Amino acid sequence: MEQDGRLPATTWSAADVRRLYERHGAALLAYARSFLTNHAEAEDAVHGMFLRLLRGGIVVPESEAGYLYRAVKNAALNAKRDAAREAELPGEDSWFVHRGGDMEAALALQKALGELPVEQREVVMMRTWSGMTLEEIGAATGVSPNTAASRYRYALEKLREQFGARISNKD
Amino acid sequence: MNQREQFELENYLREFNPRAPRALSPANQSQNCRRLAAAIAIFFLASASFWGAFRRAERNMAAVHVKITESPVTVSTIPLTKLALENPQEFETVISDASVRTLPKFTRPDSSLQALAKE
Repeated sequence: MEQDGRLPATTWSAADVRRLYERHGAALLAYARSFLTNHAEAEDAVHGMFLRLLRGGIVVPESEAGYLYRAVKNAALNAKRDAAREAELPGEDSWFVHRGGDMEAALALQKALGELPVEQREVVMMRTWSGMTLEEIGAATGVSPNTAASRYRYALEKLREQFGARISNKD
Repeated sequence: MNQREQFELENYLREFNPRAPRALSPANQSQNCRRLAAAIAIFFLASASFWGAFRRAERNMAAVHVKITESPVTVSTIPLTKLALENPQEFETVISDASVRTLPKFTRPDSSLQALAKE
């Protein structure tokens, strides 16, 4: 990875980790919430991953965001497996905040995303809230950019079915 | 879905922001470090305290040993038997003296026998 003409770093500095947290932390939390109903567990999964980065010793991968998503997914699935023996409580708050304060719309989006197959959901989240390219998403999820693009398109079609009326009413 | 519809949907989705996680402050790390340091300090204090107590007990044992060795029992059976036969009065004196030196002192302030006697 090369940024601003600098030589590629071998490990993340604290400033790098801070930058990544500010850039992707919220999207990663929403992503973790898509696996875990408990907000605190999702937050712990995200924080744990960033704290590991802060401890150092992890070589910077080609796609930073892709690495973060993979790491959070693994942490979230581990947490889900650990918590499987315990009774799960429904999520007490939404993953998203609507800019206009429309809580109902935020919950509807959460529900719609939750109903998507995980491979489509992660493409939408990476693309929309982390601004990743289809190439980066493909690398992060282990598929070709074309497959990532197809998944994205399918996901948007399903979301359009849910939110088309809302969008039309706005216009 | 045509391009315009896709564009509209993408814009709609961007009206939502993922809820931000709580701040990832190094405080979490430093808090862990402080906890670890406190645990280490407590461990060393406990170790030092235990070691001190052990050393004190060892010294006390040595003192007791010294006291015992300072007052060896000098009476033996054969001379005592002979003395009892030849001079009973002297025998009583020697026995009394030996009992004072070899048996626990009943009159000592920390005497267990005295404590038991009070009960």
